[in-house]
Amino acid sequence: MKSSSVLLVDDNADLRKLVSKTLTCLCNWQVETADSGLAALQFLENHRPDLILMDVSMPQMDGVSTINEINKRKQWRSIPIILITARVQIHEMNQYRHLPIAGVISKPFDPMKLPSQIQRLLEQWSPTGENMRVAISD
Amino acid sequence: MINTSQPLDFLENAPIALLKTDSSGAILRANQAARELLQTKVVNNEQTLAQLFSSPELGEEALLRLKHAGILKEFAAVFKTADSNLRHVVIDANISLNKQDGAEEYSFFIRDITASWLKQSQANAQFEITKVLVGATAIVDALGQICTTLCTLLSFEIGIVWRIDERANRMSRLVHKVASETDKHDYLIARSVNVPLSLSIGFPATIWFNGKGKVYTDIEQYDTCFSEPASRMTKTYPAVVAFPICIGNRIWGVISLLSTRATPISSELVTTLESIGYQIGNFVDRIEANEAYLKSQERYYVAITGSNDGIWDWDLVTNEVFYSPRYKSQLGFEENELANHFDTFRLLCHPDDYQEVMDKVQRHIDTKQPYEAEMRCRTKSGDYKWICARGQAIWNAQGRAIRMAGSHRDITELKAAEKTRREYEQRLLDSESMFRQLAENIREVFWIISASTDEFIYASPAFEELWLEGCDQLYKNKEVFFNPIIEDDRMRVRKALQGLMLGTDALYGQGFDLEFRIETKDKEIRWIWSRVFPVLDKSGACDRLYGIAHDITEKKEVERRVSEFYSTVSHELRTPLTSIRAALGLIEGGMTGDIGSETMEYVSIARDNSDRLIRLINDILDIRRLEANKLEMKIETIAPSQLIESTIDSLRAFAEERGVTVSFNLESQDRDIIGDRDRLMQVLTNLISNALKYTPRGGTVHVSSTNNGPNVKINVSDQGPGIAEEHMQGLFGLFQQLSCVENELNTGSGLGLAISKALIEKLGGNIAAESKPGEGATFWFELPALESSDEQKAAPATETTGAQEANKEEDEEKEEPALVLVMEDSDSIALILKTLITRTGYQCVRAANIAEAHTLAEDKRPDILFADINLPDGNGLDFVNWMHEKFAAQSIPVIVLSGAEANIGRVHHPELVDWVKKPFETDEILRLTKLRAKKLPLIPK
Repeated sequence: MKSSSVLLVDDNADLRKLVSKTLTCLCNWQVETADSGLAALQFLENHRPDLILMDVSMPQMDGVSTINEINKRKQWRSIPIILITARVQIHEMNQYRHLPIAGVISKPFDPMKLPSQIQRLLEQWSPTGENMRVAISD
Repeated sequence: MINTSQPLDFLENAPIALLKTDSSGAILRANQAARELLQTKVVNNEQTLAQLFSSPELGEEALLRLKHAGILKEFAAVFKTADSNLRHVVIDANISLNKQDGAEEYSFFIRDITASWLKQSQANAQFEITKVLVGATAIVDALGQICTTLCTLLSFEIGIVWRIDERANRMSRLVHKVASETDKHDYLIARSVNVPLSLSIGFPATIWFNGKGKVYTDIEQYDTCFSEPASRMTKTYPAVVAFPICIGNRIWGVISLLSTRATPISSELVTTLESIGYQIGNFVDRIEANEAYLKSQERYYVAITGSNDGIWDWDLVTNEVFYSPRYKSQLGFEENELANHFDTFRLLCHPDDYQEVMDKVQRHIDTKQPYEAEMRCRTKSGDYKWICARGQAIWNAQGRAIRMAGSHRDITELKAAEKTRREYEQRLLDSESMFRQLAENIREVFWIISASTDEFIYASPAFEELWLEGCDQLYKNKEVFFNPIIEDDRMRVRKALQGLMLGTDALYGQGFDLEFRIETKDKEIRWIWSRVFPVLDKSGACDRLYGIAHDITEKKEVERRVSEFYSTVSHELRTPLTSIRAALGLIEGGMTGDIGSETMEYVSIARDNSDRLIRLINDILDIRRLEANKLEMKIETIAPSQLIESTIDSLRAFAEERGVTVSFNLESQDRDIIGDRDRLMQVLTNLISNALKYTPRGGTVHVSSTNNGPNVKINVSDQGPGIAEEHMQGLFGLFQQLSCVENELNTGSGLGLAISKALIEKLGGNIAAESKPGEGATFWFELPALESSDEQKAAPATETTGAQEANKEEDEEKEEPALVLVMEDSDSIALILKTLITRTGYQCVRAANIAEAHTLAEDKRPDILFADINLPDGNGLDFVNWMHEKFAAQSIPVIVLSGAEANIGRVHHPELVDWVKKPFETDEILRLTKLRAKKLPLIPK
């Protein structure tokens, strides 16, 4: 059985390493990483991950713009996207309301709970992307 | 020479007056009749015909006409006799040749028609007088005209009318008319002003005593004149006639006509004048009666309309005063309790006012300026009333005041009102001038709006700096204030000011703060902060609106930067913490392979403390948002049991770790509450985790939910050491920790309870703690329950809280609750609104779509509408417009609830519509409902 593949987009190398480790060890997922929105879009040209975990604050192209770009491509719309971000103040959260995403996980997070958080968001997600739930981990 | 003498004799004795002149008009001869006519014994040869005429030009004319035509017929003229009398004559003349020298001789035959002329003019006079009297309304005017008419028609030069004043024994001159101004009459005019009514006076008093007309043509007839020998008068006025103006037997006045030329005055003329006297008497009587009637009418009117004026009538000679019944009752006296004497007034008038009043009376009598005085008068019961007196004196012929009458008006209440008004005005003036003084010297904009005119009456110079418009412009047009306000804010500011002025909103009674933006002329957006407060008048209505405003653009910019700073800090702190926490989590979770137990212990400490740091960051951000009032709430209905259970679930791991049991007890029926689920979980988590921390291992934390009147109360009780009295006070303050507890797990940020309190209060609830040292502590909060049935009435409040008191007050205010129509397709939002509205004391009906709303609106006529925009069967704003048109007269206010921005242009009556953005806050809804419902007439449904 082929394991699920995840694209992790984050400019922080430490975090890429930590999240990769977590998901690989805990879920046996195959984790690919990109250090910017542009890199993520390039990656998507040739790959089709089962899930995208996206940071918001990134140089070059931030998470929100990247998601909007992804949404322009019909074939990419069915890929669920979860934001993992430290920008979780109310006015920032409001910017995510209208994004076609499965949800938001706030940084910092407990790596041991990360798989279950992702699982919960994916269960609620539908490709039409109307019902967004925001999960904030403590 | 009989031949020549015979015709001469014949002429001499002819019964007709004959004059012969030569062609130049020099008189050659005058027969006896002519000499008699001219009252002369000799006709001087040097005299000419023209000189006989009263106007010589007429004589020349007669001569010329005779010369041209050879004959003169019926030429009317007036001759002046040698003793300056006037004779009215008719002249016929012809020309003959002197047989002796052949020179032309002019013969003038003169008929004296003075007698018939007089008769004619008497008839004319009577006719003219009648004409004058018929048209006249005022006595003096009429008498003046009569004098002029009589003088003209009867050839007199002066006419004088005296009025008889029997009471004062005087004749006072009312009128004198002089045909031509000359100093000849000075003596007469000076002497005739006031004539004593005494026999010794002679002319004109004699007329009053005789009661008949009299002619004075010679010295014997005069006796005396103005109590002086008659000689002086007879010299100037050889022809004088005087006659009385009679009303029945009473002689009202005397008219005298005087002439400087001796004119025969026939007894017929005197008779005519006497009859004219009666005629004038009738006229005077009629006018005076009419005036008296009008006066009595006036008094009667005052009396029967119960006008509050008392009447007084004071005889200055006897000092008797008539006080009207109203005068007496005004001061509490019976009809027979006050003597009709001036002393009565002297006793009643306040001693401090008496002198001033009497001074005013004296001034009125002396100067005839209107009399008006204010004084205090003692009532029967001994206290004083303020009286306003007005009056008018009557002066006799000598100018002495003999009577004075007027009114007394009770102005006690007026005075009191005036006093308060003055005090108030003074206070206002004082405060306003102070305000202005302050305003001129401060950089802030100050302004004053007058509520009565809805105009700016003052703005401090700083206004010009900020608005870039002159204050003068602002005074002329208040739009100068509103125009620069950007469109999104303008309506809000306008409504706020109007609401204050109309005093429609009790919540605004103390004024409020506004923030809005203006776009200056140079296209710059400035943020303005303003505090506006009403100044109320005595009745509680808004009299003035005071405003202070200043530019907070910089402050806004700072705020924005602070907010940005917090975002950045939050992000920058979280990013490394994320890695630390993740790394520690992975190590602790064994993802990096096995580690020694000691290492594990240290990793756990690091992980715990990074968790603590994370909580601290979250709490600090929460507190900042709360303080900046920027915390948004998502309002929904929540079942308390479900809320409590899921919170306990989320804390189960922690509880197990602490070795403490958490029990939940639903003590009464589970009623839904309204609030923000996430925030309530945050509060409950905080309370339960605190309780877990302080409860010793093996103990139990009890969570329970009870009904408390209209509220649901949630209690969290621990079995910890309890809280000392002195620590209870600051329990909900910032950075509070119960340091007395020696517990390594005392690791909160110290902000949890402060945040909880702020959150609960924002949701309209209460939070508190109860504890006794050694017996544990109970933290509880309560929130309003949703109305489901008639529970509210069934469950009386067991505990009085601020919220309940407020509700009670509102309930009492509303006798007939207004009806609110909620048009909302979402069941949960409709339920929340319905709860809020019924709790406020109004009735509520709900429509799930526009069709239902149509039916309900027509059936029930709602007083307020809550409208959603996106409804299954159309746009809610269309329904709003339809309703405003349908019930145009009611002006039904509307509160539109929408996720979108206000769309004022879309509705026809934007003044009736408030816009609330979803997610809404409950207090905003309550505030608007109250604001709108206050204006409603409370019509029973």
